[in-house]
Amino acid sequence: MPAWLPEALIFFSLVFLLLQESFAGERGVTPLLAWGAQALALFCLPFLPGEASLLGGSFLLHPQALLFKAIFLLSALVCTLYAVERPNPDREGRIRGEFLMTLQASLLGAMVLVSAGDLITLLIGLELATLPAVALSAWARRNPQSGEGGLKYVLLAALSSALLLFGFALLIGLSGSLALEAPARPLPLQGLVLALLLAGAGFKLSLPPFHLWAADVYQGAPTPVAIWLSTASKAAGLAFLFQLLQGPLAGALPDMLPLLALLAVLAMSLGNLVAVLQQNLKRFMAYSSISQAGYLLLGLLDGWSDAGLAAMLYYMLVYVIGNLVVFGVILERERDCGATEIEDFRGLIRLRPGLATAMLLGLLSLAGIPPLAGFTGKWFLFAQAAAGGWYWVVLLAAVNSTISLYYYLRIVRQMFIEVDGDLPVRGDGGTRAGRIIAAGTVAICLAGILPWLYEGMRGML
Amino acid sequence: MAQANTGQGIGRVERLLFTALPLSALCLVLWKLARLELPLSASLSWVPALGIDLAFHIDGLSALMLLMISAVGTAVFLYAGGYMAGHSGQRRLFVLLSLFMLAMIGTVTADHLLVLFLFWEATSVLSFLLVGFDYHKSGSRRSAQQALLITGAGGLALLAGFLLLGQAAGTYRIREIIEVVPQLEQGGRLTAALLLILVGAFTKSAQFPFHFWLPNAMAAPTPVSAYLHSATMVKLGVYLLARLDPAFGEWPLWELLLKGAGSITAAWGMILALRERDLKRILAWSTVATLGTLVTLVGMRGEGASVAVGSLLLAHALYKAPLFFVAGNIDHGTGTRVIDRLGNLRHSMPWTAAVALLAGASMAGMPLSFGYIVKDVIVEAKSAGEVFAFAKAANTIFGAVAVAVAGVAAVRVFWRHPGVNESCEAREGSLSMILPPLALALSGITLGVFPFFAQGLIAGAAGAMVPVPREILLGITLEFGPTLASLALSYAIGLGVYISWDWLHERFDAAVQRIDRLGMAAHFERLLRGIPRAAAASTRFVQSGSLPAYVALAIGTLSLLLALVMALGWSSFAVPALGGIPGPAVLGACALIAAGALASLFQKDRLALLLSAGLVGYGSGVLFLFSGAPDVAYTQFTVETVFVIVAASILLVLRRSGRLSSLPEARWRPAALALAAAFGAVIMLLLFVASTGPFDPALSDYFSETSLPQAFGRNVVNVILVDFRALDTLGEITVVLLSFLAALPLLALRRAGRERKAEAE
Repeated sequence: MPAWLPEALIFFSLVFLLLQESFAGERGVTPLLAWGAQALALFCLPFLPGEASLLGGSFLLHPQALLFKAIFLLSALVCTLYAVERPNPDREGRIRGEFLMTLQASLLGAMVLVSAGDLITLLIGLELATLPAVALSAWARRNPQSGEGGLKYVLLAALSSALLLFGFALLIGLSGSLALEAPARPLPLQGLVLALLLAGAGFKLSLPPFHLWAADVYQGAPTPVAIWLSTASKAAGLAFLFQLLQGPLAGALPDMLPLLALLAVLAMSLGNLVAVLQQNLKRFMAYSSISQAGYLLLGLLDGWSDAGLAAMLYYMLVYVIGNLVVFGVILERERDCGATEIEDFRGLIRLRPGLATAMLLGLLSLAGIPPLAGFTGKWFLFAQAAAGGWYWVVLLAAVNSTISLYYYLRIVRQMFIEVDGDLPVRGDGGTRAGRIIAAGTVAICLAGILPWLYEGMRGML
Repeated sequence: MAQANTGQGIGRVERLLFTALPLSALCLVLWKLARLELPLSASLSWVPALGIDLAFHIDGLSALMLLMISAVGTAVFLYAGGYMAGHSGQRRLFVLLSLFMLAMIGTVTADHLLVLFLFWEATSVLSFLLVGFDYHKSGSRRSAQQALLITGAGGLALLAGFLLLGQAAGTYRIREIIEVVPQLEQGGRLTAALLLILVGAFTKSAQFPFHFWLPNAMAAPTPVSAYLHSATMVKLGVYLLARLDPAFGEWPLWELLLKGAGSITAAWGMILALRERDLKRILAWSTVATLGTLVTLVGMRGEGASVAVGSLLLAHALYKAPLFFVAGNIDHGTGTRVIDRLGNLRHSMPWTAAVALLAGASMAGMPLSFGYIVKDVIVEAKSAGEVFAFAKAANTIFGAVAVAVAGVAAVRVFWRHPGVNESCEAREGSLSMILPPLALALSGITLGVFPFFAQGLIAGAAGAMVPVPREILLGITLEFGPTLASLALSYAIGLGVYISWDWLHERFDAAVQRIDRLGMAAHFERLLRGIPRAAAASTRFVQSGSLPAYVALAIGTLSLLLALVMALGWSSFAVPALGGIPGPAVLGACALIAAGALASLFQKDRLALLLSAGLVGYGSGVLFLFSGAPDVAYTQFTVETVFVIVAASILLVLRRSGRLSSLPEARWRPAALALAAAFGAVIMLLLFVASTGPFDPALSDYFSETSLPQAFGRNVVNVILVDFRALDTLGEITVVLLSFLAALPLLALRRAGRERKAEAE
């Protein structure tokens, strides 16, 4: 199977969606065109060649890229399925052709990003992933918060792009090469390049102090878009960081470790502390995802190793599944009765026991409670950091996990409160979304116990 | 019928099936014990890449724990069938209890730190669900959350400690760690591991200063309290300490902390028991105190102490669980557990009274009960090993108040002659609420008469800490002398405390209330309240919602970061040579930029601000034009023009509709100016430094050499765009087109809306 097949599938689905929208009108668009292509591309991944180089080395395929693409496609597939089931035009804008097309574009960008073999392709992939995401976050035009979030996002994204471009320009000038590979000799002015690139990547991963857009954007954006931003978009940020660390910054990693450790601790602590007070669930999830990004960085603290890479990818996958489940429940409730505040979830256990159980397991997995997948992932990451000798970071990570337990439990407590008097609307719930949430919940439970997922990832790399 | 099934609890068959679980476990353990097949080991590869195996090992200590888990488990399952009869959540209770038992079995048999931790945390989570069983009561929810937060936090400390321990020892297998650690140097890493593990064990076993969650967890239904909070789960901390005792036993720090915390808990727990009026909470505090004694004993050296740990573990399970059942029966029969309202119950609840007497005798350490032997063993151990004076005093308090608590639970509520609240409407519960506690209490007495039966078990358990001979239990109990004297003393004081219980209660309540505010529970509450407060402070700081603030924070951090990097590498940077005075065109461009920047400082009107910012862009364009990059200059001019026109037209539309505000007179303008100046200075320095960088011309040379022969173009930039990197250009164009296309339908929609509105009008 040709190495470019998944990208081609997504690209053609994008074009077809556009054509269909133009000629058949809004109602003529079949969402199958979008999620079918995503599912097909996901299905193709195992049959692709393990290593490939296309377009003179601009487009590379390797196991790491394959794993990232699987994460992207999975979250895109779930996002699409969630989005089209029973959209709420007032809160989410029109979820039809151009929405799906824009989502496909963002997906395509993320997929190009992980396969990029040189700096220019990398940058284009990143922009293609980011710009449509900006448009998507402002999609609900009748919701002023959506516009506000979009504006903040675009301005800060532009700032980060400027920093990255400046860094790239310096890098290309100093190394005299476009290739995304480790420089043969240590570069002069490497520190400056590093600072600029790290700041740029920090925006994409929403690491403090470049995280400020996240909460406003998550809250304002239509919930399917918030899901996309918190899963695939975050994974793309990680992939971008990996690309830099394997390429131009490869030699600089040992010097960067203290900075990375500091960033990790900052992200964990700040995300946690601010999450405690949030009343809106989507804002809450934004801060939760900021702190999760901090945990992810622990995998780098032992230097660049296969074990660390596998631990980070595994945690990313587990985090993505957990977020898909929790956000899925939020979306269901939002569509049922407009609930996005934490208080709106009171009594959910009586009202919708299935959803509440899924939410409980999803939140506990994010908090890292064994034997759920989130714990296993955290264990691998903590072990990496400990192997690198960063004991104080491990300690702070453990403290932060405790704080996170506190605020995840806040939501759980609400769900278990008995409501007398006027119950919130029960709602029917979407059948498809319900099935996806159930499948994700099962995955959270199994992935923590069955080792072959991690083993398989480790074996591939 | 089906509805009745779900609404009215579960049927008898299902109940029996559930009860068969602990019963079969009990039979299995007894069978293995009888056939002397210990120790047993099993191992299953789990994550081979990380050396994580599902490794299990059952030695004497594990066997003792298993016996307690399955025996008390059987009793609890039987009891719950009667106690919860007709309760709608019965099935939930049984499922949770079964899972909990599984987790307990896993914890005490695991031979791998991570596996142990997994089961350990599972017990925490399940206990959260069990304590919060009556989730519609807010008290239950709060207690459940408190228990989970404390044991959960301890669990994470434990995880960190296990990681450090495993790293230091080079293995996560517990049996290997025990061998390796005593030979290692007592460095900082091991000390940290030790402290973290102690935090984990202390939180689980409710040791000072984490002792306060256990009595609050009494919000749980009685079967749960009897199982989790007396017999099994809270003993896990003691189990872990005993397990690791061979590894750390020689450390002075280990000894000091265990004895210190254990003694304080033992004495303080008993004193707090005097404060309570709720029978269940009185029992809970005495459990806390017992756990403290156990921890003290683990911290002591010598075989006597190890034997004492084993026998106290067993004895406590055999008398405390029945006493909890007694409290449950009283609650069930009378509707209250407050001892002031209870009295003279022996007529209406004779069987419960019998259980209480038997178990109470063992708790008080009356002769012929197993408790007597245990007391004897403890006294013996303490006189043999060296302990500080405080530990001795603590033990005296513990022994004496235990007698008094046993008196309250077994005598006072059943015998005391009618006072203010003499008669209680009481009725005896069903058979399943009497037989299980009776069986447990009777076995406590049986072992007291025939200690021989428990000998092998306890010697085996003690053997996990120190090698001991099998006859140890009998050897001690037959001695008389000073031990008897100290026993008599504790009986005497206990009797005094029992008689003056109400008087003491009033005194203590008054005194303790005053120090309550300084107590650990208050600290914990304050800590919990502190989290939102710290959160509020940081939230106000980082989440103002204001875009300028966001940008300012990002820019400020970036400036600092860049300044730091440059300061660190300053010596390695070359100072650029100033190449004379630039030409007038460049100077003019610079003047244009400066004028634009300065003008923008003083504008209040947004439109004027936009125009002065545009001046900066044009100035840069001029600069490019005269620096040998006319194509870049052309692009710059175009972009700047389009941007200013588009932005200005938006602003004009807004102004016409009266929605354009002028800039607010803000206090932060000087700060913004300072930030901008700092950022500008840093970027200027950066450019300065970058201009001296030894740029590698390989790429530009390659393109200028190859553009004509390979792509037949003289304009290198154009050739790069449309030929060498054509695909990237295509990508860029796609991005732009897509954004445009995505915007198009939106515009069309707007027009349609306007038309519709016009039609309507």
